[in-house]
Amino acid sequence: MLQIESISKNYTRGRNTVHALRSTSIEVEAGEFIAIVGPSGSGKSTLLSMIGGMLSPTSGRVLLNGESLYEISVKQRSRLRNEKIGFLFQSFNLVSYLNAIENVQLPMTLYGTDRMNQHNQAKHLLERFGLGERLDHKPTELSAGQQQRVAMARTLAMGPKLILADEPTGNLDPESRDMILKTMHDLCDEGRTIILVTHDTAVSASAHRVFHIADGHTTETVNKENREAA
Amino acid sequence: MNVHSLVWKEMRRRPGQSLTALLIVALGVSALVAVESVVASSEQKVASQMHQLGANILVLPEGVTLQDYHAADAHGRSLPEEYVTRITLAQKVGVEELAPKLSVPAQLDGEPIIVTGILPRTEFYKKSAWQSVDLLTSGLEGTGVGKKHEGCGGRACQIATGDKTDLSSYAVTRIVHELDMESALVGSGLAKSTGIVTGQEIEILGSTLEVAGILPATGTSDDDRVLAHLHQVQELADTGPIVNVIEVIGCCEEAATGLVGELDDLLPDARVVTISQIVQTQVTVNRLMNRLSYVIFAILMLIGGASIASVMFANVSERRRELGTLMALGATPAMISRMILLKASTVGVVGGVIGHGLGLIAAWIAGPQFLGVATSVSIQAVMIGLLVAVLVALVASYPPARKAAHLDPCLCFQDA
Repeated sequence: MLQIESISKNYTRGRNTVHALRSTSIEVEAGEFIAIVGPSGSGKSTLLSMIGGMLSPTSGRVLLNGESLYEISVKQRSRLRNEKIGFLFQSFNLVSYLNAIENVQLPMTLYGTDRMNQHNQAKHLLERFGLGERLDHKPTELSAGQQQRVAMARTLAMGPKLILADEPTGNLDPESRDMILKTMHDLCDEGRTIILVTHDTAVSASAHRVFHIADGHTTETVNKENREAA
Repeated sequence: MNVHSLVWKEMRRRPGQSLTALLIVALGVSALVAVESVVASSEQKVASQMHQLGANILVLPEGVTLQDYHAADAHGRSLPEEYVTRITLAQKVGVEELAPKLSVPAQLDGEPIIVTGILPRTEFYKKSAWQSVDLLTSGLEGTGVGKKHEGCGGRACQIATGDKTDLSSYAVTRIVHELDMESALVGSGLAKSTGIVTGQEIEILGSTLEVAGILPATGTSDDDRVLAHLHQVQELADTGPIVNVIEVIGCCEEAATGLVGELDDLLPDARVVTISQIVQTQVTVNRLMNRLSYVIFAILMLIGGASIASVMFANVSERRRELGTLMALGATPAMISRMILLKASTVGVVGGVIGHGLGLIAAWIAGPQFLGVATSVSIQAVMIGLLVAVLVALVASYPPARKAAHLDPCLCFQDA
C-alpha cells in the first residue's frame, strides 16, 4: 500500500546542512499499525509529513498505492490528501470558530460534498464516537478527550485508507488515551493503515511494527504477537 | 457548509478585525460619495444659476460692441433670421436654447418704448425643416436644441422646462413656449407706470395686441419693454426677416470650451461672444472640486489599502495553524488564497455599501448646511466607489493571500 523508497530530508541553514532524516525505506501493508518512536528532534514528524505529502523529501520517493506523491501537481497532492489520507494531531487542531459537526464536515467541505451528505456523515461519525449530544459545541466547550474524538471523526470523514497520527494521545488522560488507541485498532481491523508517531511506550507496544529513529537513522522492530493476533 | 460560509464564520469570529477593515473601506467610499454628491449638486446649482442668468452666448452683428448684456439687442444693427435656422440644423453640442430678438422703437400712449420681438418655442416646432432633425424635435419637446450631450461637469444640464403656459417664465428662462401673433407681454415697470393689466388691449406700431401677461420684475431693461411675436414685430416694423441678436443658452462646459468657436465658424459674418469669465470661473471651480474629491478618495484608498493589507497579514499570521490544518485536510493553495480574497471582497462590498450610506448622510447634512446646496445622489460616485473599494480590498489582500497559499503546513504544526 505504501512504499517509502530511500527518502531523506536535509535542511540548509547558512553553511550548515542538517540531516533531519537519512535514507529511510519502509514498506507498509494495508491494515498495518505502525509506530514511529524516537527522541525529540529525531525526524519522526518530518517522516510523517513526507508520508502525508506535505513536505517534499530531499531525495527518494513516497508511493501511495503506486502513485508517487511528489511527482504529481500540488493540486493533485492536495486532492489525494483530502480523499486518501487522514491526519490526527497531538493538539487536535480543531478550528476554533466551528462547532463539532462543522469541524467534522471540513474535509467534505473542501471536497465539495453536498450539505446534506456532509451533515449526515458528520453526525453519524460523532455519534459513533459518543458525541451525539455535542454536535453544536465549540472546541472550547469540549474536554481534551472529546476534542480528540471530534478530531478522530474529522480524520475519518472522507473514509481514508491511510491514517497518520502525530502524538494523538500526548495530551490525553489515560482513559481517553485508551479509547483513542482502541479506536485505532478497530480502524486497523477495518483494513485501514495507521502510522503513528509516539513517545508513549504503551502505545508503541501495541503496534504491529515499530520504527526507531535516532540521529536520522531508522531501525525496525516487529511485534510478532501483535501481528499474529491481527 | 461551504467555503463561503467558512469565510463568513471566520469573519464573525474576529469581529474587531473585520470591522476595522470595513471601517477603512467605508471611510474612503463615504468621503468620495459625500464630496461627489455635493459637487454634483453644486454643479446642478451652477448650471441652474447660469440658466437663470439667461443666455451665456450672444450672436451679434459684426462690429457690435457689447456694452450691456441685457440690452444686447439695442444697437440698431441686424442679422438675417436665417442664422437661427443655421444654428438649429447644425445641432451643435451644448446648445440648449435659442432666443432670437429684434428690438424696434415704438410708442405706447404717446410715450417712447422699445418693442422686442421674440420667437416662442412653438415656432421652432412648426418649421418642418427643423422637425426633420430627430434630436431637434426631442429637444423642443424637452430640453436642448442641439445634440444630446453631457453638459456641465460631465452631467446633463439642468434646464428647467417650467410651465409651458406660464408666460412670465420668460423672466427666468428667456424663453416663451407659446405666444400668438396678436399677443404681447409687458415688462413690470412699464405695466406699473402705465397701469396696463393682463387682458387689456394695447396699440403698438399701429396694431392692436392683447396683453397676455405681465412679466415679473427683473431689474433689467426688459422691465420697460413690450414683448411680442418676432414675426409680428418684423411685419409691423417692416424690417423683413432680421434679428438684432440671437441669444444662445449654451451648457456651461461647452460654452466655456469649443462652442463659441464652432458658432463662429458656422456664422462667419456674425460676432459670437460669451460671458466667458463667469463661465470659466464656474467651470474651473466645478472641475477643481471634482478633482479634489478623487484626490481625497485616492489618498483614503491608498491608506485604506495599506491598512487592509496590514489587517489581512495579521489575520494570516494568526491563522497559520488553522490554514495549515486546512491544507493538511486537502485545501489547495488556490483554495486558501481564494478564501482570503473572498474575505477581502466581502469587506470591499460591505464596506463600500456602508460607506455609500454614510457618504450620502454626510452630504445630506453638509450640503445644505455648509454649501447651501441640496444633495442629489451621484450614481457615478456610487459605482466608482464600490468598484474601487472592492478592487483596493482585493489588491491589498493579494500579498497576504499569496503568503497564506504558500504556508508550510509542517511549520504550522510545529507552531502548535
